[in-house]
Order: sequence, then structure tokens, then C-alpha cells
Amino acid sequence: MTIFQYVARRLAFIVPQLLGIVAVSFFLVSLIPGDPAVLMLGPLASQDSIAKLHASLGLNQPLAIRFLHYVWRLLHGDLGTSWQTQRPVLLDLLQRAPATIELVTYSLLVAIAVGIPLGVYTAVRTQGIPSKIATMYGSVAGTIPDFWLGLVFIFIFYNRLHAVPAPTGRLDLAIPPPPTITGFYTIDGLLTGDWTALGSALAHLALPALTLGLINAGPIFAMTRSTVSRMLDSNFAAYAQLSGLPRSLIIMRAFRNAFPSIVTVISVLYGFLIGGAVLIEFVFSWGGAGQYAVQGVLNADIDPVLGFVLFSAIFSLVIYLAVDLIYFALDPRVRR
Amino acid sequence: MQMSAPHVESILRVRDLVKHFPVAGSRQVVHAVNGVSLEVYRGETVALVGESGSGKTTVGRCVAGLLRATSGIVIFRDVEVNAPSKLDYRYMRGKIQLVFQEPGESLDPKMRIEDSIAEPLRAARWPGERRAARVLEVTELVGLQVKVLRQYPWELSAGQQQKVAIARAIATNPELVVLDEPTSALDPTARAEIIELLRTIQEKLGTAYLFISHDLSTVRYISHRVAVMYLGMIVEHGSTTEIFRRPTHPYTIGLLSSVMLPDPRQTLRRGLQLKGEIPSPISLPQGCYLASRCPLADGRCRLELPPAVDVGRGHFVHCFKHDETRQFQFVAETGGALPASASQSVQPSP
Amino acid sequence: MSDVRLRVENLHSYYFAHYGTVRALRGVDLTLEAGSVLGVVGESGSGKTTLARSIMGLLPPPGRIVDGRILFGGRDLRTLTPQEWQALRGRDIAMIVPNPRGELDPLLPVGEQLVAVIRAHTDKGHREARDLALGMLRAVQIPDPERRFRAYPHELSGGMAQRVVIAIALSCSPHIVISDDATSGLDVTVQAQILSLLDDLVRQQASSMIFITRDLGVVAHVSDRVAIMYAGEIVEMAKTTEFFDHPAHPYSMMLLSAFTHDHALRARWTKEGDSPDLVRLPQGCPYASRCVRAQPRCQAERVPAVEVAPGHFVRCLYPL
Repeated sequence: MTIFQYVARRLAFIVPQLLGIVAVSFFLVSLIPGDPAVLMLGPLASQDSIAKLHASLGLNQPLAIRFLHYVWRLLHGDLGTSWQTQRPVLLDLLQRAPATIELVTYSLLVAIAVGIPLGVYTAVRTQGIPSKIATMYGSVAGTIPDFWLGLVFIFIFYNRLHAVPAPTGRLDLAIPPPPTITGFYTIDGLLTGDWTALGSALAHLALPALTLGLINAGPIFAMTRSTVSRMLDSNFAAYAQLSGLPRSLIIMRAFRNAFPSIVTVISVLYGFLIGGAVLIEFVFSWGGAGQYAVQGVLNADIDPVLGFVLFSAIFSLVIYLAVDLIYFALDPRVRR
Repeated sequence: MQMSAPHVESILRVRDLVKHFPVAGSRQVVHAVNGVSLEVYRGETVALVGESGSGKTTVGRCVAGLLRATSGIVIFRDVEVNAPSKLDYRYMRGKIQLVFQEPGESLDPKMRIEDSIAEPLRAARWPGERRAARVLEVTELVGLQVKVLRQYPWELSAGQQQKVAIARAIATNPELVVLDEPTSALDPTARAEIIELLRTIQEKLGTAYLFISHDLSTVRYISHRVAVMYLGMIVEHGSTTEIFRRPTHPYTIGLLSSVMLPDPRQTLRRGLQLKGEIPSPISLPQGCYLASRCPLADGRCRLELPPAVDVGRGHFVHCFKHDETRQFQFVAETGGALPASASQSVQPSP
Repeated sequence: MSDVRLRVENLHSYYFAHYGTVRALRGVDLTLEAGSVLGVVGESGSGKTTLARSIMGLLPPPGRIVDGRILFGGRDLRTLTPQEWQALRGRDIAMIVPNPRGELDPLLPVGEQLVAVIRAHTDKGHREARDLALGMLRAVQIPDPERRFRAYPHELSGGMAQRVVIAIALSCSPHIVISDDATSGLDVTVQAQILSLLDDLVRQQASSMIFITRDLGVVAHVSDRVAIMYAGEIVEMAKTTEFFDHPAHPYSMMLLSAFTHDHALRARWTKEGDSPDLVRLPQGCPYASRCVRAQPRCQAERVPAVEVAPGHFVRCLYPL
């Protein structure tokens, strides 16, 4: 099978997958309590005006019809409008999604940089104090609430050490964002040579990315350690040892064989963090997509919620496709 | 050691059986069985011999009705096994039984042995009290103690498990039992015991066996007739005496030459050495399927599929070169001779 | 007297498991002469794989050699450092493993795995090692070696993978090849090919081989001497012809009788019984519980090895 056939086959599945996700989330979101008309018009609105608004929003129609309408609009690129921001959801998301993706991506880089080396190290050296400490860290990392760690870091690094800027968004208030190319401040700053913005963006990213990174290194560490040690115990590693191959080469081969599993856990984390980073977004006033969606849920603002679900679904599917391509490149057994 | 076929009444007829399996994610097919015809008579043992990839197991499963043939017919008594009516199906289920290679896998680990043995009886709608009696009967027949009936499969040795599988297979008094490598998962001692048991059962009940195996030595001991399979075709068949005294197809000779007996004077390179390995059943070679491995093959062998040739005494060979194979023939030994000391008294002299 | 390549003396290897000490090898003595093949036969659990692993210095934990010497090239292998071991394995003593498709790295072309072993033990560059690897693939009669060089393990048949593993084992012209159950999963026609090949190559390179198997039939064809193992001991050892003509241990006779069609004769030498528990070994002969010749003395005394004919040793109080 060529790589093109492989990608085409994967892409063919994406459309039905997306449709399924839209359907499920539409019906789940419709269960959210609260009447948007009441929230929009305020507590003093008359029954009559509420009914009128219901009609204009299409809320008086059966759920199935509303769903069909929603899908019809989606097909035309219309994700609806948020009554809170009074802007099209698509524009809101385009503005906020890069914030979240940027944060999550840097966090994952931190998590990978911490998790994988620690995992390999403890898999190779199962005994010894460094290994024990790493194991302890691995079991603690998964249990600490991220927002708590974020607050502790703010207290230490901002309040006490003044090492980082105030946790008030992605840039210093006085610094204008770099010209928008991708929406990622660090990349745009780099591309346009806007070093002030780049510096400020990195400084603001440091704490939230460290917080999320240290916590999410946990699962990466655990997966790396368990698969690498399983590979080191496997027949091919034993055979390599029987053939007198150097230890370093055997470890490298074990890691290569473990890599697909590690990539899998990273990809799952990536998809999860798009929504899962929301508490950190709140703590650092990040203004990302997760924060936007939660506001939607709290205020029965349905279209932003659905829009966010759709956005994270597409994001996850893209990540999974990329992961499959990595498998394809790495593992000859997939290429059949 | 030869047994004569006791009856001549045909119970199973297979004609031009073909079975293809689709290859996942492709339009190609695996040509597992490519036109097999055979007949089994009442009370006899027919062996299907071949190595992995020969299609012997697939033939057995088509005969037992576990697989539906792509084309060709399988007739058991008067029932078309491939398209049975509901009534025929129930009749058939009692009359053809199957024993697998791995006894542990064919027995439900959560079922007591007695329930496992009673299962086919229940399927054939035997009434309860006759069922219990029959379970006891067959348990005794296969030489198992009654206490195992209350046990679970994992409590038994592999040999005992295979006895249970045999008891279960013969419970409904089948006319034909398909035995798919019933002894190859067992150690030599248990293997010998199971083969002995199968012979005893055949003598007592007159059950016919379709015995599927790669082990020529066992086949020679238990079967009346032998069909040698290669890449989904029968390449040679005849009575057991004939096949072992006058092996004629190069594949049969190659197979017999590969049997390793505990005799250091027999050289590794006697008889006929086959080259290479079995070709892929996905793209079958043109001409004789053995041509690429056969030292005798010439241009014609690579172009045409050889038809069956009668070389006398009911012995058929699919080979253009059957006249030339005689130089490689040898009287095949498949059992080891024991040293003279084996016959002396077991007890040490004081 | 031909020169001795390997001498194992009084080797004891135990596994220290949580439920007790599994005494897998108990005082194994053997010698391997230059250019000869020693067949080691035993059922599973007899200690034959533990013997191979002990000689390779790679007993899986919790296994450990507790006593004895393994003399090779004037040194006791038990005194080697890990670095010395690594250099020795694959170069001086190479191993052929069973089920080779599972033993090769699934993500690397088999040719590269061959090259890696050659480069680990020689100072050849990649190009040179590659040429040697291709030559080895040709030597083990793999058709179309250039294409097979780039094949991944899962793309090979069992027979082809076995040839690759043989090529890896022989690539550095080792003094000793240990073949552990190398042909057990193969079809008989392929097994015959592999055995002929192994026989040819080992004799060509003047290597010595320890051929471990459970199949007495195979051993008759490849080995110069035979050692029968039972419950962690060599119970009989002799020249191959001497062994098959005059087996002296009742266990050997039982193994041989499995090949005969003579049911009565087979039944004579076979007795149902439990294999010994290697944690709680009986005081006397471990085979006594299954032995048709067993006498009261057998249960009570530890059985020494006796020489019943020149070079023919047997561990039995009442040899045949």
C-alpha cells in the first residue's frame, strides 16, 4: 500500500466520524439546563418577548429539525453566533484557538522533554536512587490538580521571585500583539521580527506551560518506562544481547520499538489538553478556546459550545491522522 | 502393520472441492484448496498428509461443515454438506464430528468435562437420562476415570484433554470423525497412547476417520489409504502400503526423505531433496505446483498441470515424470528399530 | 587426543524464585572438541536451555550460576567482565535461536541486523560489512539475497528467518555455535534443508556446535556425540553410534521407543509418572518415579555417573 492510498483511506473515515461527533454533542448540549432566551433578555422580560425570541432562534422547533438546520448551516461554514460576544462563533474561535493550541503545544514539549528521558532512564536503570525519585515523581504527577500547581508557581515565581510577568494573558498589556500570520504569538513574533512581542509571549508562556508540562509528563513517563522496559525484556533485545551487540544499540532499538506507543499517548494528551487545559487558562487569564467554551456552557450559549466541540474534534482527528502517518513511516508491518 | 478396509460402502464423497479465502484489504485471494476429490468408505481411515500451507486443514473443515466451499461438492451420505437443509444439518451434526489439534482450545475452560462431553448430545437432542448414560459410556471407552467428569479442562494433562475431545466427538456415534492433527501438540508418550486409542475405537465402533496430519509415521500406522496434499491439491493417493512401498510423486518422496529417524547410519541426503519452500497460495505458479522445488522438473512441468496417472493397484500420481522417480524411490522407513537390548528383560538382573 | 574447545565442569545453575530454588542444572560436565557436534537432547524442563544460557552468560533473572567452571580459550568464562562477555558473544560463541521471526527486531530490515552484528565484532566499515552480510545470506542459500537483505522479519517465512539467524550466527566465524531447538517449528522438508545447511557450514568453518533439541531423530543425523538430559543432569553421554546401538539409561530407551510402531515394545519401556519437581528433588534418581527398571536403591541413593564403555557415561545404578 502506498502512503497516498493509506491517507485517502483514513480521510474517507473522517467525514462520518465528524458527523457522528456533531450529532452526539448536539443532543448532549441540548440537555444543558437554562434557557438562552431568558438569559439574553434578563429576568424582567415578558413571556411574550421570550416566546418571540424563541421563535426567532428556532428554539420552538423539535430537536431533530433544529439538528438538521444546524448541520445545514455547518455545511455553509456557519457555526452560529454567540449571544454573549455578539460575534460569529467561527471568528471567535479563530481568534482564541491559537492561544490554546500554542499553550498546549509548548506544554507538551515540556512534558515530552521531561517524560521521555526519565522513562528511558528508569527503564534501563531499574535500581538506584535517581530511579526511585523519578518513579515517585511519576506517581505524584498524575495526582496533583493542575490549577493548584499553577497557583503555587504563580506564588513562587511571580509573587516572591518576580521572575515572570503577571498571570494576565498572553502578553504584557503594554505590548501590542505581533502582526497576525498564524495567530501564534511566538511564531508570528519570530516571523515578523517583533522581538519584544516574542520575548513577552515566551515569558507569559513559561509558567502555564511548565505547569501543564510537569503534570502531563506523568503519563508520558509511565508509558515510556513501561514500553521501553517491555521491549528490553523482549525476545529481540535478548537475541541482540546474545549476538553481542552493545548495550547502547539495544536500548536504542528498544526505544524505537516503544516509540509508537509513546506517540499514541502524546497524541491522546494533545487532543485532551485542548479542552483539558481550561483551568490553567482561567488561572492565567489566557483567553483561550477552552475558557470560551466554558463561558458558553455557563450561559446556555449553545453555538460556542458546539463550535468548540467541533474544533477540538477536528483537531484530534488531524493529530490522529498525523500519528497514523508516523506509524506508517516507523513500522513496516502497517504498510500492508 | 497393514489393515484392510473393512467395508466398501462409501459415506463421504468430495468432488472438485475449491476453497478461496479473501486477503484483507485487497482483491487477491488465498487459494487454499484447488480442486480436491476424495472418498471415504465406512469404517476406514483416510489420511490427508501435507505440510503447512497444503490446505489439508481447510479440506477437513469443509467436510465437517465448518467452512463453506467456494465451489465443488461435499456429500455425506445423501446430504450436501455445503448447503444442508435445517433437518439435514441436525442429522449431520451428530454424524460428522471434529477433533482439533489443541485440545485445550476446543474445550470450554469454564465447563466441567461432563458438560463438554454432553454438548454434542444436547445439540443432537438426546434426552437427559440417556445423555448422562452415554457420557459415562464414552468416558470409559476412551479410558478416562469417571472422576474427571467433575473436573475442569485445566486440571487435566494435554493427553487427557485430547481423550476428552475424542470422547466428545464419538458421543453421538458419528460415522465420520475428522481428526485435525490430533497428536501433534502432544509429547511422544501421549501421542502413542492417543493413536492406540483411536485404533481401538475404530475396531469397536466402526467409525471412519479423515486423519489430517503432517506426521508420516503416525499416518502409516493408523490409515488404510493416504492422500498427499501440496498447495491445495492431492498429488498422490493410494493405499497406505502402496504409498509407503512405492512412493512415486517427487513431493511424497521428498517428504519421506525428510523424516528423521533415530538411526545415525541413515544419511541426511538420501532419497530426494526438495529445494526451497512452498510457493505463496495467493499467486499460484503455472504448471505443476512443485516444479520450482522439484529436481526432475522440465519445461513441460512448468507449463502444464499434470493430470492423474494410474500407476496400478489404485495408486494415482499427478506427475509427468512418474517414470523417472523410481531412481529416488526407497522403501520408506517411518518407524525406528529399537536396539536389541530393548527386548531383554526390563527388570535388572540382581 | 583432539583438542577441546569448551569444557564445562560441575556446572550448577539455579533459579531463585519466590516459591523456592529451582535447581535447573545440577553438576553438568561436558567437553566439546574442535570441529565436532554435540547433540543435547531433553524434554522441556530438562535444563537444556538453561545450559545454553549459562554458557552464553545470559541466564535470565532470577537465574544464577552457583558453582562450576566453563573453560573456553584458557579462561573460565565465569570470570569475564560484562565488556569481555559482550565481545565474546556472537564472535567466539554464537547462538541460533528457535522461532527466529520473534527474535529479530521487527522494525529493521534483516540485512541491517546482520550488518549490526558484523560491525559490533569487527572493525569493518558499513560497505564492507554489507558485502559480508550479502555473502552470508548467499551462503545460507537465501534466494535473491539483495532483495531479502531489505526485507523485514515479518516478510520472511519461518524457514527464511531461520536461515537469516544462521547467517547472523556464522557471520563472525565463531569457534562454537549453540543451536537451541532451531528447527522445531519448521516443516519437515524445510527442516531437512536447514539441517544439511547447518551441517555443511559448521564443518566448513571448522566450528564446533552444541545442538540442542528434543528430537532424537534429528540428533542421530547431525551430531558426533549425544548427551541426554533429564531434570538438570546429563544422564547419558556417548558417541552417536554407540548411543543408538547400546543405549544404557532406561530414560534413553523410553525416548527411543517412542519412534517404534511396536506398541508392546513401547509400552514395556514407558511408565506413567510425574516429572520431578526441580524445587523439591527426590533424594535418589530423579527418573525413578517413571522408570520401569527402578529398584528400592534408586530412590535412596544419589546416582553417580559410570563409564559403561570407553567414552560412554551413564547415570544409572542398573544400566542396560
